[in-house]
Amino acid sequence: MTEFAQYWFVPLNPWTWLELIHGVGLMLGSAQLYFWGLVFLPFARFHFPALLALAIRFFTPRNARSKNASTVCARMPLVSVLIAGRNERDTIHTTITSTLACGYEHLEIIVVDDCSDDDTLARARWFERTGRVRVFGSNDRNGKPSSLNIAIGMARGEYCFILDADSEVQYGAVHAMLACFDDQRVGAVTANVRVRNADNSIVTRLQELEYALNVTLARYLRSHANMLGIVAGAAGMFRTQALRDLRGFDTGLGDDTDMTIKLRKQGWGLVFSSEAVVWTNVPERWRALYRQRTRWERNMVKIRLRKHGDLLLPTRYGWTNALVALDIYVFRVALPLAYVLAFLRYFGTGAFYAPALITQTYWLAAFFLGLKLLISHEIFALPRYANFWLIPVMPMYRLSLRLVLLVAVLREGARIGLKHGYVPDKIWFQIRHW
Amino acid sequence: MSTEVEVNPKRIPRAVAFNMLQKVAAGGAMLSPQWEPASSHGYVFEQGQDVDDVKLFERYAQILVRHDYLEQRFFDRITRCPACASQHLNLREVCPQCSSAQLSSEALLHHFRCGYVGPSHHFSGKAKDGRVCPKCAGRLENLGVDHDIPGQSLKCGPCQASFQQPPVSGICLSCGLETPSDRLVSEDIYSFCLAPLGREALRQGRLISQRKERVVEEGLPVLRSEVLQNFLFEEHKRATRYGTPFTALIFDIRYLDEAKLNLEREREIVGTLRAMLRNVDLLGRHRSGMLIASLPMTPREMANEVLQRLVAHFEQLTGVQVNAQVLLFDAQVPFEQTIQAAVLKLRSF
Repeated sequence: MTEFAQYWFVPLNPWTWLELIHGVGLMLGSAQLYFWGLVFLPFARFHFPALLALAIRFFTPRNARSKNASTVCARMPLVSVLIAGRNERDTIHTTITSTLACGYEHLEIIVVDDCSDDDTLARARWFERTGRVRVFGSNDRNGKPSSLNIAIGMARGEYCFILDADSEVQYGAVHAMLACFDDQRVGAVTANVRVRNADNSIVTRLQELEYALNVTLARYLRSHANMLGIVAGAAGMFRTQALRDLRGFDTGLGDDTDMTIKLRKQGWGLVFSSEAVVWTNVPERWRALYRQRTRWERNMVKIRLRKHGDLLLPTRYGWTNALVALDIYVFRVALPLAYVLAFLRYFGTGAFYAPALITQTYWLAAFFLGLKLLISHEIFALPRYANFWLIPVMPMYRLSLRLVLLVAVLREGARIGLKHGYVPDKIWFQIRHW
Repeated sequence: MSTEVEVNPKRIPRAVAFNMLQKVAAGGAMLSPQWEPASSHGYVFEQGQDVDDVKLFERYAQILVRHDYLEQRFFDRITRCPACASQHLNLREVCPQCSSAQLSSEALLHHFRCGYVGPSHHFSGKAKDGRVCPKCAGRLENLGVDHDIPGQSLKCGPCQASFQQPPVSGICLSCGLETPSDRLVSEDIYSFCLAPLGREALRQGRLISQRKERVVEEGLPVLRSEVLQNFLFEEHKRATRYGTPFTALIFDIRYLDEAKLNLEREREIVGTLRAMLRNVDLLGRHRSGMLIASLPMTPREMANEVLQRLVAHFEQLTGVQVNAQVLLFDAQVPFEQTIQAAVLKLRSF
């Protein structure tokens, strides 16, 4: 225990830091592949853009960020809010109520109930008396993509705002998203999804920090670089015509990723709106979190690498799309694999005799994560300072999650356990399994 | 009818009241409304009545019901325009968005392989037989295997809104006002039949006016319904105020041979009850064939004992069946509600 504590708090010793700085200096001056590939490249990929975000924020004129000047908002187009859900009796009321009260009057809400076992349908139908909500109850379970397709068929609005049945729309979110459509090249806008149940457990608190980095800050940057890779299925606004031209969502898992890539292939621009805040519940326990992330990760492999692997071809879909695809290949697949191999090699060469390097690297990662969170807080006022005390465990959380998800990636790559309960059997046996 | 009475909502001329009782008796002791499609009111009680006549008839009949001469029975419910009270309504399903009645029904098809959902005419491709998906060009061959129908949808012609459950709206053919169905006026209509007091009035050829006659039924030592209700109300108030026990017995009398005159048999039952109850217990009529005996200062156990004794006695009677139950009045529950629950229970036997 004493030795463990000694190694863990080794950064408290200034001599070890001097050694580390000296070591990094040596490596910068060398041609070490490990250093440039496994340390510098990911560092540059994940940390430099945060500084860039700060620069963008400070150098963007405030009036350019204002949605009051939006010509789209000024003409008040009809917005169709599409909500597809199954067994959402506890949240559907809040979702519809918050949407009706979001401050944008000219909207219609279309709820498609995917043959719920509970009284979700009845609760949604209660709102039909408002005259702004229409509900479709399916005879049989069809899955979320098909339910959304029903809703798209019923939509009359110029824009479709697709919303999860357990989300809550913040006042002004629809205005903020509509303002992004001033640019005629924009086909979809993704909202700033925030964690509603952040205070419920350590898991949710960690996810609040994670969402601030991976959702808000990362998408803000990617949006400015025209490299946004996802329009969140929980809250995203689309041009209805763009959705109809693509004839709606494909069945199966990962519908939002699939639609995003198809829009990119069509040449539409995708934008992130940090002002369009939508609150959602995140898993409160490790097991549920693991399940959710496994599903996401497997979808990533299936949709991005298999189904839309051709996005990597710059001659077909342009350099930006190729970079988006390359980013996935390198930083979501190759790098975690390389890390695992490097660690194995490292431990195999007597790493336990030099644990200071591990702890120093850990504390360094925690320091830069903390820096990024401060930048995120400076720009977006999130995450809340109340959760900053979790920064020391963030690298451990991210690393463990990444290693667990690597298993999911490998399993999907080997096509093990493809079937998922989210897809009804009748559809599973008909669809093409990428 | 309309010319011989003056309109006064609170009082009824005696001649008119007696005339009405005679009309009810002439109709087999019950006068029911008859549908009259030509009238904006929708029904009449007698041939040739106009809207005002019917309203006046009902108003007077209600007065007679309040005074125990008549009883009312639910006949039907009618829907009216909230503006002009006409029943000439055209009810139809309308679009929830634009209120147009130009709706067309369409079945949605769902192709499993690509997830495309659309109305069936979207799937009519160039294939000679079968349907073709417009998204993936796959053929739809077997309903339930490669495609299904997630539901029917209605589409509005003018505004193109799709929905499943259209609201119903009524347009008044008399005044032209369009009203959502939940705002239409719904009105219960009743038949009227003779109550024991009404029968007695007809037998004597006059309305019952003496005080004693008003309190106790003619020929039977039981309180009239209205009087009994007042007594029960007062007793319930007193029992609630002082926390004393207050129970009652309710009797449902059914004659197995309906053709025979029941007055004699009822007199016999009432005589038995009067003999077996205390002199402080009140016996009154709740409605035709139903009597209530109030038992002040009597707890539930004692009321049950009394009930057992009476039931044992009534079982010996032939040609009549008497069901009875103890009414236990609760301070928190209106006494009418307690009685109503007991009546429903007795009638369900």
